[in-house]
Amino acid sequence: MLFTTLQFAVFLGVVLSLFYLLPKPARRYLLLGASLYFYMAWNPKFVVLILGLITVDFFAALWIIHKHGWHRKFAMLVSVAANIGMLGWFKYANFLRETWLNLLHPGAPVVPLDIILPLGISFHTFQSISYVIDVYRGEQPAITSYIDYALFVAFFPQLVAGPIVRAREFFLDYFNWTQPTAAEWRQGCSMILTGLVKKLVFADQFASAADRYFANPQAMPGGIPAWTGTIAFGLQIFFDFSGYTDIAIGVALLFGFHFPENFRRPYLSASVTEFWRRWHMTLSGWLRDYIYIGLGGNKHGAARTYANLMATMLLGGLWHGASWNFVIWGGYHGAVLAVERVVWGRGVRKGLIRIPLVAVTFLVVNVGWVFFRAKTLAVSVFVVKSMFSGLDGAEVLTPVQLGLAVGALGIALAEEYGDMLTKLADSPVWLRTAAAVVALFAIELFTASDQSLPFVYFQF
Amino acid sequence: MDLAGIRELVAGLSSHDRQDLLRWLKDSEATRLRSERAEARSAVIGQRADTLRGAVAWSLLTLLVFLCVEGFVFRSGWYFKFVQPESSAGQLHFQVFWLNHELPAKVPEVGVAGDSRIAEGFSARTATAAAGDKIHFWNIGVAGSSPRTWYYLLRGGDPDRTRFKTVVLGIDKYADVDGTEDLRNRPTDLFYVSSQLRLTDCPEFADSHPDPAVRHDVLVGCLFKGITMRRDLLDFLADPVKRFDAARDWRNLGHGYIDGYGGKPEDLKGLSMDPATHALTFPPGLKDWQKSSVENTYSHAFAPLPQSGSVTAYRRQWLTKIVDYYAGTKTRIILLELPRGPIPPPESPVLPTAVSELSRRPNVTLLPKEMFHDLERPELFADGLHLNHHGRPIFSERLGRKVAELMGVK
Repeated sequence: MLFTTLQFAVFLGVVLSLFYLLPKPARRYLLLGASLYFYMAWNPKFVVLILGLITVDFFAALWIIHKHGWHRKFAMLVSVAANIGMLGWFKYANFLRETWLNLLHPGAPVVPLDIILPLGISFHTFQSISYVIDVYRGEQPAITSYIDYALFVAFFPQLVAGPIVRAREFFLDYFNWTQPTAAEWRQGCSMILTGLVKKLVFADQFASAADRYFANPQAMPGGIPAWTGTIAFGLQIFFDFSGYTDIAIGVALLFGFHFPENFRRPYLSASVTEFWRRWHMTLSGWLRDYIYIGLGGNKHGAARTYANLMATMLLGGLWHGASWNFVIWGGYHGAVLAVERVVWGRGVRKGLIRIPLVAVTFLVVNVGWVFFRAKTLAVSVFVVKSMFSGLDGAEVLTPVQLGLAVGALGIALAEEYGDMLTKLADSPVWLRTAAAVVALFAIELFTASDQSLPFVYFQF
Repeated sequence: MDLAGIRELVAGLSSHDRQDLLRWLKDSEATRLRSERAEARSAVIGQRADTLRGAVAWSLLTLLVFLCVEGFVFRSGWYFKFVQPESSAGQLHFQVFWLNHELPAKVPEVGVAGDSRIAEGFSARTATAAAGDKIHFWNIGVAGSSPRTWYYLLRGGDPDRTRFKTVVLGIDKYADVDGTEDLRNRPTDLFYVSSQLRLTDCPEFADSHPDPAVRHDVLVGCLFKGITMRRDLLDFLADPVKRFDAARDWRNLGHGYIDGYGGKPEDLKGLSMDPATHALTFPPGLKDWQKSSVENTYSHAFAPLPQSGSVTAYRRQWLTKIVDYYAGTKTRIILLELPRGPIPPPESPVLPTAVSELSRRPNVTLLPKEMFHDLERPELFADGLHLNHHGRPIFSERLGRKVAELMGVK
């Protein structure tokens, strides 16, 4: 059930209405039932998997708080192993098998195992791992109600593609639930509309250009198609994923839950370090707290810090997908982060110097997207070579897409320096009504594709 | 000054001044109270407006405003005045427009509906002449259309069910032969009938598409016509002046253009088929579109596809709906099997189930299946489907005479 379908709109309308009509004690059952239904709408049989993991993690956390010594660690490790094991099997089994067989019998064809990747597994396993580790570290009390914990993992707005919500963030709202204020409700509606416009009008528009180029880059040699095709993908993935997140945050807000921000205009970053503070912030935070800091962070000298950065980004890359391309993408970002730290330290640059730095960062990030989008390493190498082979060839973006890109930059700047969307949500009633109606017409009339295109991050 | 001092001063005033002072005090107090009450009321209203209930009401109101504007643009018929005439939506919309805006003829009127084989291959003018001008024929064929769209065309063009004394439906074959396309799941039908669909039509119209994904898209497109008309709108925005001109020209003169159309000049003389191998031999000089059209027509004629009964189900639903629409009226429905192609195909082993069932209805007449088989000759066809400017008048004249005969017009 995609967020962009009529089916979801009806589902949301029904669940929201029932939520506010039912007495408070019944609401958690409603939300859990609705969340499981939402998940089963994709593939009913995988509900067993998610409920299995919920059960393991729920009892592991209880075990941790009731036991001492090695029992606690054992329970934590069992839970982490169950989550990583499931993620590993469904996401990486074919990749590891193929790599292993290629090492043993180079060149021999490998028939992949018939494994379907369960929707959202990368997100809900990370959410569960963070909960159990936080309980182990004593930073989060264990949840004693199975229903409450199951709802934390399966809550439908964030179940499929994040944001990765920490237990303390979720339960702070959950146990102190108050109905959303009028401003929050408007903010929620505004975020849903913004997300739909981002996905349907912008992302799907850029997707057509990116797909056209990456379907066969060799057919469009030259630097201009390579850059414009890649930038089209960079814009597509931003609008797609941040659009999804906006809808998720907006929907949660309508139910009175405050999800963390996940994107803060990442393409206005003046360094790749800053980019990772603004891009998929909940994943960056997760990687920082549970991998980078777990590995020692920056407390063991410069060399170890760079090694930790690289390891964290390699794992972050691998989290996105089981292929060497994602590993290279992660490694590329790890290397750039390390170089930036050597050259500039960790400071954020301010003033006019940001303008050229933002442009350079955008291009550096886009070089990385090549490995993210291209199907094979050979194609990635071809595209990167094309990027630096001189500016020839025809551009991939149409005038409409170029106009959208410029318009998006204008909106991003207005939001960055003027908090435009928040102000619009709280503007006089006629203005915000007009803005919402315009957004609805944009969604209706300027949706780029006739088909409901799935969100890019669903594959992760 | 304290109160005692004020009292002393007031005591020293004349009776008239004391009355004035009293009046002023009363007025001042009343004004103060009024203003306090107004402030309290506006604070309450302000609080109400900024409660969750107020915000939800605003959300619903915004949706309502959007639906009203959308309805005004796409449901009032306003946008369709400027729809691209050559588009599927435009073809059907303007047929309905002419039927609604041209005065009925003084003689009985007959509507001839069908796909491009009627739109292209039937001349209303020739048929009218063949009926001695005692019947007025309308060519309401629309290229690419099918019975589902004809129903909405007839409902929109003949809302009182009094305009047509006879409706002729030109269908592919009487036999219910499933082809490569499942007509039930044809999402393009939505585009044809978008100008005619009412909100209340949406559930039934969407439900008639068995494929859940198509059904969903069709339902959304029916509820929000802007989605259906998106491409047309973008085309419109690219050059609004050109579109205004094209739509106005077609609205005013299009029916005349169709009436005066003479048919395609091309023919297929020299086309032959090996009776044993069914291999086609094309004469020299044939254009690619003619060849591919002929190949398409005969690609499954000798090796039918597996039959699922989808055509039977489809015809049962939509041809029956047309017959039901005119049930209880004086309008007769005539079904005819169109000339099938430039070379006679083999007779189908599939039974004409839906058509046979319909023929038992009191207001339905089935023309003899073979009535136009003698027109299945290469020299009368422009391509694999459409009669050319030689075949067209023969077909139209014969149909005109037959309909006149059935209507008792001499």
